[in-house]
Formats: sequence, structure tokens, C-alpha cells
Amino acid sequence: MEQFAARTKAILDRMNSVIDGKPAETRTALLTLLAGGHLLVEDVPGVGKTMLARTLAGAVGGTINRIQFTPDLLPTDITGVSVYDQTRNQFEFKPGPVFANVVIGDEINRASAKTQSALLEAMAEGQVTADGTTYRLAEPFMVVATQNPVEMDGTFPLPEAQRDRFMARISMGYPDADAEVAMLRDHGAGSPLTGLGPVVDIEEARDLVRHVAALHVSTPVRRYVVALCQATRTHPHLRLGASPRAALQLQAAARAQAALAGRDHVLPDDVKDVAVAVLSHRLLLERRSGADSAQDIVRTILSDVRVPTEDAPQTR
Amino acid sequence: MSAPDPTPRADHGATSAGTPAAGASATAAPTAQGRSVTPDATGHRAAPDGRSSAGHPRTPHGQDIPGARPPRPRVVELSLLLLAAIALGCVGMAGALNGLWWLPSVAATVLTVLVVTGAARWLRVPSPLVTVLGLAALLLALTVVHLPSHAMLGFIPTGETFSAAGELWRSSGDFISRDAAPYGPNPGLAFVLCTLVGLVTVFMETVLVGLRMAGLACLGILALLVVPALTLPGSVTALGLAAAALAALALLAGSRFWGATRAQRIAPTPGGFPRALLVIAGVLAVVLFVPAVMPGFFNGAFPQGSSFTAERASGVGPLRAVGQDLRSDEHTRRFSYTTSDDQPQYMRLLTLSDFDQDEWFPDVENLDGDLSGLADAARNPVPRGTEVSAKVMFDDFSEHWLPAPYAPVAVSALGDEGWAWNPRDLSIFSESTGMSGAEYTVTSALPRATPEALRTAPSAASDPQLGDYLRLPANRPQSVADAARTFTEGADTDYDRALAIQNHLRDDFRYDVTAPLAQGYDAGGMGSLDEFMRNRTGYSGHFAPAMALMAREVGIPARVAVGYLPTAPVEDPDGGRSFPVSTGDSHAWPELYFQGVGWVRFEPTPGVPSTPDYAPDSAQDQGGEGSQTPEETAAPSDEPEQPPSEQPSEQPTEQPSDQPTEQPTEQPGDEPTQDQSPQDEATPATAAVPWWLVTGVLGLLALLALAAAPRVVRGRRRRARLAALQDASLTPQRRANAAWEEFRGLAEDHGVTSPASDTPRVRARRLAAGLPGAQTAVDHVVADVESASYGAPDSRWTPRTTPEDLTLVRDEFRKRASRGGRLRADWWPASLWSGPRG
Repeated sequence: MEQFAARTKAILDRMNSVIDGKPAETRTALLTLLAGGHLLVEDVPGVGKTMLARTLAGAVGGTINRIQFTPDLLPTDITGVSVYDQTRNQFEFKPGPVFANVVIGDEINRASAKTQSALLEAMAEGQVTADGTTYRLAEPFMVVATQNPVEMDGTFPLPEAQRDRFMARISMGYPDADAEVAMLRDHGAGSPLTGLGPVVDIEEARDLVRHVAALHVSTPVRRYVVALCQATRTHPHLRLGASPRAALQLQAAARAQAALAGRDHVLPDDVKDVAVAVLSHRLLLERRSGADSAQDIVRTILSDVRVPTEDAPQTR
Repeated sequence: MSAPDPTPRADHGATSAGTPAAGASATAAPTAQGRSVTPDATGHRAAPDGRSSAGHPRTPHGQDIPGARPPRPRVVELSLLLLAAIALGCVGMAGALNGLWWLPSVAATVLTVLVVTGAARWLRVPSPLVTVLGLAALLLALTVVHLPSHAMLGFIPTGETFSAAGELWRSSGDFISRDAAPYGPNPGLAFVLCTLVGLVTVFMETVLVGLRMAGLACLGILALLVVPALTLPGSVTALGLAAAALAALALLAGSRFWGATRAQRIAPTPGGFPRALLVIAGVLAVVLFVPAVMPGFFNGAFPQGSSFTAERASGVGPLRAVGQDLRSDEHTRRFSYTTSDDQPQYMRLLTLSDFDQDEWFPDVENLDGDLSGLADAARNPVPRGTEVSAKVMFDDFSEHWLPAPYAPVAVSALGDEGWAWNPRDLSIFSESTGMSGAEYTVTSALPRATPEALRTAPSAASDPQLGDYLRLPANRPQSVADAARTFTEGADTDYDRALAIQNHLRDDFRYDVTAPLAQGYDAGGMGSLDEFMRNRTGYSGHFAPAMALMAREVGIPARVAVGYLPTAPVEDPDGGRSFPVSTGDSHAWPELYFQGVGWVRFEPTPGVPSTPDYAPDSAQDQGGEGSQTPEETAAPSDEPEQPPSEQPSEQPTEQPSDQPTEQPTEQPGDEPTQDQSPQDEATPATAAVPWWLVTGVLGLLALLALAAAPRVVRGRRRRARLAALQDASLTPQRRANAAWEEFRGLAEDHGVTSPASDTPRVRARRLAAGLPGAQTAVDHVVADVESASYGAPDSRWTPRTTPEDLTLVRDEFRKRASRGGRLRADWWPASLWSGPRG
């Protein structure tokens, strides 16, 4: 437990030293890694999306691959390709960039849907199948995809089914003035990552993930998670609510949140803390839903749904 | 963790088994949600699917509160159970009713109510609404069955319906006051019965099916038994009691049986205390309210019948019947008579001399069938005065006894058969009561009594023939004997003693025909006499036996005569004068025996203005304030001014009012002290506590108890939670939850609330905001409830919260609250009214 706290603190410190003024976003990113999920970072270019992903990957000491998505990128450019080896007279699988602990998918919405789905399949299955052979991906495996807002030119909006595979979506936003000044001062000369080694090795990172997965989730908390998801399904302003997979990921994220808080069990508070990041990108708004954003709707639901406690017998 | 420890598991299992609501909610939730999701998913949020919106609390965003929908009870079985229980209860009620004339309308009412409420339950209409629907069904049934001609289309109640219902209600009161139990068919009474049984049905349905409190439902059975118990002593037979007991058992067993098969015991559920409180308040309200509106509960309409005779009014003695007659609102004419000397007479029916029983009845055993013996018996052994003949014409008369002035010597124009007379008191008895319209002539020899003759009469105390008239019942109240001795102190002769008793009763006691009934000592029986001596208020049914018993105490043979007062004459068309007698002239008076004179009438009832000539009321004679001393009363030599007249026993010309006991204010009595209207409060020497004060005090006590109930219940709940918190035999979950409940209750009591969507720690932060002193204590509570609700189930831990923590929290809340807030928290704790919380 102490080890967990120390290691996660070290990772967070590292990330915050690189990404100025975004503690909440760095925490969500770490949380996604610990929960075994994938992260979608959405914002305009140049606010540090890629930097966040690189810092995280660097801190845990895993292998890092970066894929720059472009309209002409092919699925095999991601998963890998079988090449005929003339010397040995057989096909040999050349693993694509997806075979790494942290895969950074830059501007994922610039690729065609076909290419996007190749990555997303790997995300969901944790494996790649080529020519009838299945290849396991690394563990831990995390995709940090960045995305420009869909209104911008030359983008293919990510289909709902694929957004659903990301555990959380964060938005970087512009740094405030002080943070930006600090960034200019510190990072003016070259990449800030230069010379920074990992703070935990990959085996330790695996331990962290395993620790999170073992956290106890009580029945009332599970009921709360389900109630939240059901509330999104019946909400009048939503065309599409949260899927059962969303419920699973909400539980996993809440586990990580509880672990980061140093507890061995999940509280409804943990669920509440991660609900906006985990749920809002999966929701499809009704056209006439007015000015409410998906985040606002999730917050409304959070303030409406009753928090269950253990069914206590009435004391007499 | 290690291998699962069986102990906490078992505890956990027992805990959930002990909370049926948990199991019920678990099974009910999926269906409920499945139903409600469908309309909402399409965006029709306000989906007016009446069933899912009614009675199913939902948040604005369609969130189901788990288990909020109650499982459907076994409606058919429970309704049949109720029907059976009410039918059994009606067996007891039938004791006060003659025949089964009431059965169809009552059955129709009950069935209507049960069908409607059953259907409503089946449709899962919210419980309070079911009760309202039941009442509506009752209204409908009452309208259709009893008042179809006063309703729109025969069943829609209008204002006219209600006024007609009020009329019907009042008529039942008149009927009950006029007639004697057991009651025959009467539309008003049928209406009252249907209303009562219908209300009981709604009550039982609400309590049994709605609130699931089978025990309380048994109160309804009790309510049904109250009717005969109040109306007719002894009418609740063993059969009725057994049926009621069976009904109660059936209710308890049946509800348990069907409740259990629904995995939902019919028993107080969580939050039962406020419910119980509500129900008790309702019962109290009914108990305090019903007597006020029920016809005749206090004004004498309800209790007793008016027949003097034993056959019809079993259990109602003649004295009580006198009071009944006097209290009835409308007076029916019983008979009228003319006399040979144009003077009205005391028309005597019967006498009472055996005071051993609970209720006093005339002797019908030792009768002589030969009326010709009357003449000798009346003239012997004492000489009589003038003979007067009275021609009596019956109007509406259904007594066994013939009215006749004392002492009758001959009766003519009666049929040959079925007549008998009592040689001891010369009363005349008929086998049949069908004398309406008949007429006869009775000749009477009036006793020749003068003060001198009476005073010189030797004591009759040793006459063996009069032993029965001297016998003192063993259960007589001591107060009578004491009063007799006090009153007769200083009186030398029997006559002086009798006079002293009469005049003390007239002067020191108050006349009121309704108060005794209201306070539960209507005439007849030693118990009522005891109360009468204490309250010093009553009517002739009390005064007459009181004087008779006092006379026996001092050695004068005495008995009580029941009959009618002399009345004012009316001019007949043919010029003669006749004397009509109605129920309002009913009267009782004592007769005392003097050797050589015979049975002599006295008049101790102050409501009757004049006394016999030979027994002068000192106040009357002196024209004083009525505050004469015993010496004055007992000194007959002071008042010889009224010489014996030819008709010594009667003084009718001075008493033109025909209803002296009924309308005392109209009496021409010349003394204000004798104007004994029932409202007259200014009576001296009434040591009695007025009944309204007793009722008021009792009501006040009940209200106080009711007002203190929330505080008591809250305190009890708090102690129970603290005990649970400290009970090491309970699971830590239960202990922690007890502390949590108490914490939330404290906050709620002090007006601090938080939304249901708050997590425990957020809620605690919100509730305990501004309680810096209690921060640690609150942290303990929160940590415990989080461990209890969300922690690993098999980890062993003990709650950190201590009772001192909760006390500290309470003190902090109190410190922060305003004075009004503290009062409210103490006496009207809000946490009692909120339902069970998850």
C-alpha cells in the first residue's frame, strides 16, 4: 500500500514537473493507466496533448510508440504486416507500432474510419490477429489518443462505438498565464523530457495495475454505478446513454481513484469523482437538448441519483 | 484475505433475513425499472402511464429509487379475511338488534367498500388514496342504499343528500330514545349502523392491508362491540364475545399467513413508530370525537328504552325508563282520564320494593287473578278517605301495568281474562300490553293522612308483615345510611324523620334529568344511588329510591312507586275536563308506611314544586331562601297552617304545569330555589365534580400524552441506536449504521438536511458544517458507515464511533440551533416523520 502511494506519487510528480498547471489532467491520465483503460485527449493543437502522453509513458519506463494518424494511413501501418522472408522462405510478422506499452495515437481523427478501427480493435482485445495468428500486446497496454475538435477541417469524427472504448476523455485547455510563463522559462530550450529517465520500471507498473484491479467494490457502490448509467439511458436530453462497458470502465476508474486516495475499497465519492471524465464522451445529445453539454448532464445526474448505502436494518 | 470466517457471513445472512424490505426491494426493483425505462428511453419523459407515475417516486431524470414500489398484497385473501372478521364482529353487534333486518344494507355497504379498496390495492394505488377511495365508496353505498331519492340520478350525493343524511341521523337518535333495545327495523338506525360498520371497514382495511398492522385492526372488531355494550347491558353474549375473539384471531393468523407467503410479514415495518403514532392519534380522535357526534351518547338518546315493563326491555328497569321518557325530545300521549272530582291524580303503575338486584323490577310473581279482592285489600287494614273514580282512555300505551290512583278499590270495563293484581301494593297487571285505545274506570280510596295522624302513628318497624319493606340490601352505599342518620338527627317520630329526609333531599340536592346519564349513573341500581349521593344531582329515579332506602334505614317501611304526575286539564268539547298524560309526566316517588294510615306518598324530588299537604316543604311554607336549618325542617309544629284537606294526598290545583320535571322553568313554583332547571349551576352544596371537567381533564391528559409521544418515541429510538452501537454481538455493519442513523436523525431534528444524492462523507460534511467542535466525532461516524457500507465484507473491524461522539454531536447541534429549533428538535423531531432511509 505504501509502495503504491509512493510510486504513484513519483509518477504524478514527474508528470506535473513537465506539464505545468494541469494536475487534474495528469491525474486522470495516470488513473486511466492504472485502471487498464485508454485515454482520449481532446483539444486544439499545441496545448500539450502529446507531451502528456509522452511524459506518462516515459515515467513508467515502458516502451513507447507514436503513430501520427493521417488520412492515408493504412491499418497495417498500425498492427504490423507479414513480410515474406526469402532467406527462410516463409512469412514473417513485422509488428506494427501498436506493440508497445504506451501507444500515442496523434490526431486519431485524421485517419480514415477503417484505420481507426484497426487501432480500436487492438485496444479492445489486447491482441492483434494477422494471417490467422494472434499476437498478444504488451502489458500494461495503454493507448493515448489525441484528437482535434471535430469542427476543425480535415477530420473524421470518431464514431460513437469507438469513443466508447476509451475509458476517459480529458481536455487539456490552454494553460493559465502563470503556467504558460513558467513553461516558456523552463522548456524554452529543447524538449523537457530530455534526460529524464523512468521513475518506475515496467514490472512495477504492472504491480500497480494489479493492485488496483484487486480493490474491493461493494454491492451498494456497484448499484450506484449501474444507477448512474441507467440514468443516462433514460435522460430526456440524451439520444444515447452509457453502455454496460461504460459501467465496467466507470467501476475500474473508480477503483483507480480509490487506490490513488490510499483506500482498499471504493466509495461512491470515487465514482462521482471520475464520472464526468468517464461518462460524458460516450453520451450522444439530443439535438434539442439546448445548451447543456454532456458534462453538464452528467453532473446533473450525479446530483439527482440517490447514493445507496448498505441496507441497514432499522435500529429499534 | 484469509479464508472466510463463517461468523460474519452468518451474521450477514441473518441481517438480511431480518429485513424483509431488502428482499422485497431486490425482487421488485427489476420489474419496476423495466417498466419505467421504456417510455423514457424514447424521450417522453412525462410518460403519463398512470401506473408508473402514480405511487412510484422518481427523480426528475427517471431514476428509480430501488424498492419504492410496494409489492402487491394478497388482495383477495385479505379482503375475504376482513369480510369474515367484520361478519364475526357483527355477531356481537346483533345482540342489541331485534332480528336480521339490518343485515342486507350493512352487508351491501361492507362489500362495496371492500370491493373498491381491493381493486385499488390490486391496481397499486397509493395507500392513502385507497383509504380515500374506501371512504368514497362508503359514501356511495350509503347514498344508494339509504338516500337514493335525495341524490342526483340516485347515486351522486348532493347537498340535499347530506342534509337528508343529517335528518336520518337525527331520526335514529329519536328512535333510539323512544324505543327500547333490542331495536327493531328503522331506516335511521340502519343508516347509522351502515355508517359505523362502513367506517370500521375502511379503518380495518387501512390498518391491515395498508399499514400491515394486524393487531391494530382488531380495534375495529372492538368498535363493533361497543354499540351493544353501550346500548344494552348484557347484550354482548358469550357467543358475541367468542365471535369477536375468533375474528381477532383470524385477523392475526390470516394476515400473518398471507403476509408470509409474500415474503413480506404483515408486521410493523421500518418506520412503524410514526405510523403507530398516527394510528393511535386517529383512534384517540375517534374515541373523543364519536361520542360527541353519535346521537344520544351524552344526551340520553342512545342508552335505554322507555318501557316500564320487564318483557320488552330486558335489563331496563322502570326507574331508568322514567329518565328515558323525561329525556325524549318529543312526548307521546300515553292516555288521558277524567275524574269524578275534576282533580288530577298521581297515576300509579307499579311499585319497587326489592332492591337486591342490580336493576330493580316490580314483583310479578305473587299476583292474584281475581280482581274482586281489590276492594277489601284496599280498605283494610286502614280506613280510607274519599273515593274517587277515574275514567282512563288509552292512547298509545303498551305497559303491563294499569295506571290508577292509589289505592284502587275497583276496576271496571276490563275484559275478563288476563288481569291480576298484587295484593301487597294493589298494582294491577295485564298479561298483554295491547291496551291502546281501550278505556276503563278505576275507583280509588285515597289515604286519609294528616300530620297528627302520622306523627302519632306507632312505629311499624316491628311488624313482621312489613319485613320485606324494611329489608336493606347488603350492597347499599354507606353514604345513604350516613345521610339518613344526619338528616334525621333530632327528629323524634317516624313522621318527623320522613319529613326531614324529604326536605333535605328537596333542598340539598339538585334536579337534573340529563347529568346522571352523562356521568354514567342513570337511575336504577345501588351503583347509581351511590353516585347520586356523591354528586347530589339526579331526577325522580334517584330521589325516590334514595328516600325509600333512607326511610328503611331509620325503620320506616318504604317502597318506590312509579307512574305519572298529575297534569293540567284540557277542556273537552263536551265541557268536561280531562287530564292528558304523556311520557314527559313519568315520575317515581316513595311510599312510606305508617300504622293506622297506610302507605303514604312523599315527594323528595325538587323538580316537582309541591309536596303533599301532610308533608310540607319548609321552604315552600316559609317562602324563604331555601336555606333552612335541619331544626326548622324537623320541627313540624312550626307549620301547621295547612290544614288537612279532603284530598290530602293531592294538591293539583297548585300545580297546573303538566311537565314539571321536564320544563322546570315554566313551573309556577313560587320559590327560586325550586326552579331547578338542568342548566342551573347555582345549587348549593354540590360537592360533585362536573362531568365536563372530568372529560376536559381527561381530554387534556390525552392531548398531553399525544404531544409528548414524539419526544418519547424519539428518545426511545435514540437509546435503541446507542444500545445497538455498543452491542458487541451485532455485526459492525449494524452498529455503524445505527450510529449513522442517529447522526442523520440528529441533523434532521435540527433542520439540517442533505440531498439523497450525497455520499456519506459529503453528507456528513454538509450536515456537520458549522460544528467544528464535533469534527472528530463526525469523522468517526463517517469512517464507520463507509466501512460498513462499502468496505470489504469479510474484514473484521469495530466501529470507532462511541456514544460520547454522538452526544457531542447532539450538543453541538443544540448549541448552534435557535431556541425554537431546540424546542422543535425536542418535541417535534423531524426525523420521526421521514421514512426509512437507505
